[in-house]
Order: sequence, then C-alpha cells, then structure tokens
Amino acid sequence: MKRLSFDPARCSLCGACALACSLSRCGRPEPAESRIRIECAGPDEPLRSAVCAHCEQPACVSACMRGIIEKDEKSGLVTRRWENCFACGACAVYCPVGASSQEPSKKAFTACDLCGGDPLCVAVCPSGALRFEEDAEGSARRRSAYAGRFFGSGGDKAQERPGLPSQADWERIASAVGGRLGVAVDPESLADACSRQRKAWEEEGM
Amino acid sequence: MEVRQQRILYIDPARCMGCRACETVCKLENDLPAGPRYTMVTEAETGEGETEKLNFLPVPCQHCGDAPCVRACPTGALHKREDGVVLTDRRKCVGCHECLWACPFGVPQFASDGRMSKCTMCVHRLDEGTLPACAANCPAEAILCDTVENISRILRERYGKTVFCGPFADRLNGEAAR
Repeated sequence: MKRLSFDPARCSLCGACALACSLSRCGRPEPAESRIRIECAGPDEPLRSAVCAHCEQPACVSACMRGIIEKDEKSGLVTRRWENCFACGACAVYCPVGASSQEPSKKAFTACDLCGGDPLCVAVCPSGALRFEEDAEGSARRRSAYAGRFFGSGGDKAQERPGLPSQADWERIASAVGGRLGVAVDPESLADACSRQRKAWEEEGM
Repeated sequence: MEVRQQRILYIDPARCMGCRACETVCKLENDLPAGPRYTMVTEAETGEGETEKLNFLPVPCQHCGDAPCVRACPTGALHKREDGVVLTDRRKCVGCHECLWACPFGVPQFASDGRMSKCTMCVHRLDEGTLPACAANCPAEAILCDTVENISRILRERYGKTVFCGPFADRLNGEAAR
C-alpha cells in the first residue's frame, strides 16, 4: 500500500504540512491539533514525523477498549469510527509512533486517514520531504540518492536543511489548501501562522 | 566493542561492473519473494560527453556503528549484535516503517506480510565461518566482509600490488633501481 514517506534530510521545518492538515481536518489553523506533527527529541537528534503509519500489527487496534479501531485487510488502512470514542487515550498511550491526536472537541482521539488517498500534507510540502509512495519506491529513491551523492553526480547532494518556502511556494500552498477547503486562502496568513509555529519549535530546541 | 573490530561489508565501486550476481545470490540465499531486495546494485551517471560514465554501487545494509534505524525503531525490534551486525527481530516488528524513514540508504524492505526485513550480513553463514553470499560470489571481489581493521589491511595490500605490479610498476621499479 502507499504510505506517507518522510525524508528527514529534506524537511525544512516550514510547518506547512501540520498547518494544512489542521485547517482541512480540524477547520482551524492550530498545528498542535494536526494529525501530522514533525518532531525532534533534541537539538542533535534527527527529525521524525508523528503520523499514523497504518502499521501491519497496529498496537492501537488491540489497545482500543471500544473496538472502534480496525485494520482493513483489503486496503491496509487503520480506520477509526471515532464518533463512538470515549477518549480513554489507550490508543495514544500504546501508539509506538505517537500518531494519535485529539479532535478539536477533545471528545475523541483520531489519526491520519491519508485524506482518503490524496494527502493534503504531501500536496503542500514545498521541499519534497513528504511523499505518498509505495515502500519499494521510497527504498529505491533513497538508494539512488545515496549512489548519486557517492559518485558526486548530483541530484540529491544537499545534506543541509533546505531553505524555507519562497513567496511562490506559499502561493502554491495556499492554492492547494484553498482548493481542498473550497475557499480562498491568503498566502500571507499561512506564512505568518507557520512562522509562529517555528518560533514555538525553536523554543522547544528543534 | 571498538569500531575497528566491528564486522562490515566493504564495497569497492571501482571494481563493480554491475553484473548483479550479489543481488541474485542474496535472493537465493535468503529465499526472498518478489519485492524485497536486501542488496541492490544502484546506478548513477557522472560526467558529460566523452567522460560520461555509468557507475555501479551495490547498496546492502551498511550495519552502521550508530545505526539510525536502531534508534528509530519504537518496539526494539532492531538491534546491533555483539560483532556489529544489525539484525531485526521480526516477532517484535509492527510494520510502522520508522526504520525506512530513518535509514539514509533505503535499506529496510517490506515483504507482503508488511513486516520489515533487511540484509543480515548472512549471519547464518558467518556463524558457520563462511562469508556472506554476496561477498563469496562477487566475481570482481568488489564486496569484502571482515572487521574494519582487516579490511584496512586488505586494501593496503591491494594498493601495494597496484603500485608494484600495476601499469606504472615499470617506471616505479626503474626509478627505484636508479
């Protein structure tokens, strides 16, 4: 199955993914409530994405006391009927990747559902750190990038963090988010919200 | 354990000719189904015009000293053995893919059961005292498997041979005689 693939070396920590996710799934620009969060354990630790991995042996399915989390054998997705959730938090406690997030009402836990097969976070990611791809594709792309760096043939030489999105990037992000929500979104306000998020991250030591 | 005594797979891309014997024997040795490849000969083009060249680099698991996959695995399914080999305990793997996102070389592979598996440096062969299948079958001897210090010794010997027995040997030996 296709999954959200995260490449820590390409992430610029711009925060567009979390902002777009919270806007489209929670209806407000609160990256902390997003179903995808970019995290880091400390200043020298690698970045990681806390987002539902749709595990093969999902701990949340066995942890859920209401039995409303299921692994769909056909599609491979971990699905939640979160309308019946009583927010015990067992899924959040047992999730190995920290993917559970709370609904805006705080009455239920939920997680990434891959936007039904067209994830908005991937559409907005300006540096290509987030992709929606098969395992084999991701593996082959990383191997070729490594071979390219090894022989110095370029392609993917950048090992430093890529730069923050440009004005043109923000306009593209705004049109992607606006297209999903069906309203016009102001690129300036998106950039402002993301810079506030980055300040919060900097204070946390990322 | 000291890094010098850690066992590694050393790849010499200058010797690799892209025959993919390592890929084939690896699949046979580990009885792999269609899909996962523990090692993959990866191609990269360099140069332009007359210097244009296709390079080959076999990419097995690098069995890193401070392996990012071991650090990323939330269930402790990945671990580093005493001699440096990074191994997966498939019973502990939940298939969360964190190791694949963390690995800079794209090594972790996922078969149809969704759990991670990867190059084991053929531990079953190492424990019997033989070389991993890829290293034993590489016709160009481009893949070496030994401890870091032994590989360093082998490479120095190879370098010595190219100096005294290689294409420039006559000139060098002539200069030495003068």
